[in-house]
Amino acid sequence: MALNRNLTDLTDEELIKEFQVSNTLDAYEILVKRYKDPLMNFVFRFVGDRDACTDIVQDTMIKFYLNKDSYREFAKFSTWIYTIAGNLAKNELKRRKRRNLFSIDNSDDERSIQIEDKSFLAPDRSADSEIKNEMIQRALLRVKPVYREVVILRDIQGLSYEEIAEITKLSIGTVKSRINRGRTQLQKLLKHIYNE
Amino acid sequence: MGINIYNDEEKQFSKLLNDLKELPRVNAPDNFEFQLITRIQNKNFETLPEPREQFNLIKFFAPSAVVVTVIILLFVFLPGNEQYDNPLMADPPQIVAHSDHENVITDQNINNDRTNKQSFNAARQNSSSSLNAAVNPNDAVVKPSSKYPIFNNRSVALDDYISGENKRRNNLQGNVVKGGEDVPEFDGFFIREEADKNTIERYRALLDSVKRAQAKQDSLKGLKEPNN
Repeated sequence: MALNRNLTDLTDEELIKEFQVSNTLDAYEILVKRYKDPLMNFVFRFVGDRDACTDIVQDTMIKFYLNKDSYREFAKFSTWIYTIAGNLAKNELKRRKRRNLFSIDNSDDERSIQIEDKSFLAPDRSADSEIKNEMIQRALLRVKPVYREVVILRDIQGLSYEEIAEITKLSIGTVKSRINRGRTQLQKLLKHIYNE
Repeated sequence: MGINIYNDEEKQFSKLLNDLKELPRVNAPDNFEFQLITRIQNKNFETLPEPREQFNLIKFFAPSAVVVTVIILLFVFLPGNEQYDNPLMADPPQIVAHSDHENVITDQNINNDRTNKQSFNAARQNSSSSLNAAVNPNDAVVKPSSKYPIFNNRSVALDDYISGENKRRNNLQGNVVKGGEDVPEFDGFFIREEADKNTIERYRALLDSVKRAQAKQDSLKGLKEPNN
């Protein structure tokens, strides 16, 4: 079907159809190229660990490769791949939570990540965007995962409410209220930045 | 992908949203695709293990604590044999009428020679609605209604019976006495008038002595009259 055209010109849905029907690995590779970075960004903001994030995105792509036939044409490919990545990221969080529950010496490490030490931040440095970005990322990790996920998808990844509702399998109303609560939590955690 | 257009709801978070948008993008490592394709070619599809269902202490202990508490409470508060209240030994429930009020009305009725029975019945109905009155030592305890039928041919009104105006004599050996109202207040009790031999003998001796005295008086009168 689309072999006459350049594969890079095809839409996501056309590419996955090509991969499903003809098992064209090039189509798969193009989809991986398109989505590896957005998924990395999403998973990193959600989990907060670069190594774990790379593994999760790798696993997402493996699952995509193995379960390509479970994709249905009526859904958008982006929402389907985001759902896989989101589920794997949530599993990673559960695993970490469990690990922290039964681990004795992990608690100190976790606390060092969570606690902000503003005394070391000079006023000129606190304005520095790098520091600010790190503070935002730390605050983001303190927001409840159910709110964090939708805030990241909306405000960092820039997805529409409909796409988020499809990814999270929630109604649009629930998505909007969760986004609002997530933003409120985040703003409260970062009040020392936004009150100045 | 959707376009991030801020609406009115998002204005209050505008600074935050701008900062979130400007967060640096995290990209995949350079060898990401190489590693992935290598895994696929080597059929190394081992992914991260699914997290097992977490054993939740709270989920386990909360229902257990409830069950244990219920069992303990059952043992503590279960009534023992010594506390068992035998219904056959218990006093029967008594319904106490507000008899002071009734007595007053009954006295009035006696004085008025039972001319206003209708008002009396009305007063009784009113008084029956106030059955929760305090019990005094002089209060009468009566049953609220008749359990057994009272036969009119065997019944007399108690007030009539006392005042001697009992006009309804029956042919039987006794009378069933009941209250003076139309509505029977209690089952009544049967008065049997049995003959007492001693009393009869005493009365008989009394009558004989009277007769003898009469005869004696007559004979004395007969003796005096010839003299006159």
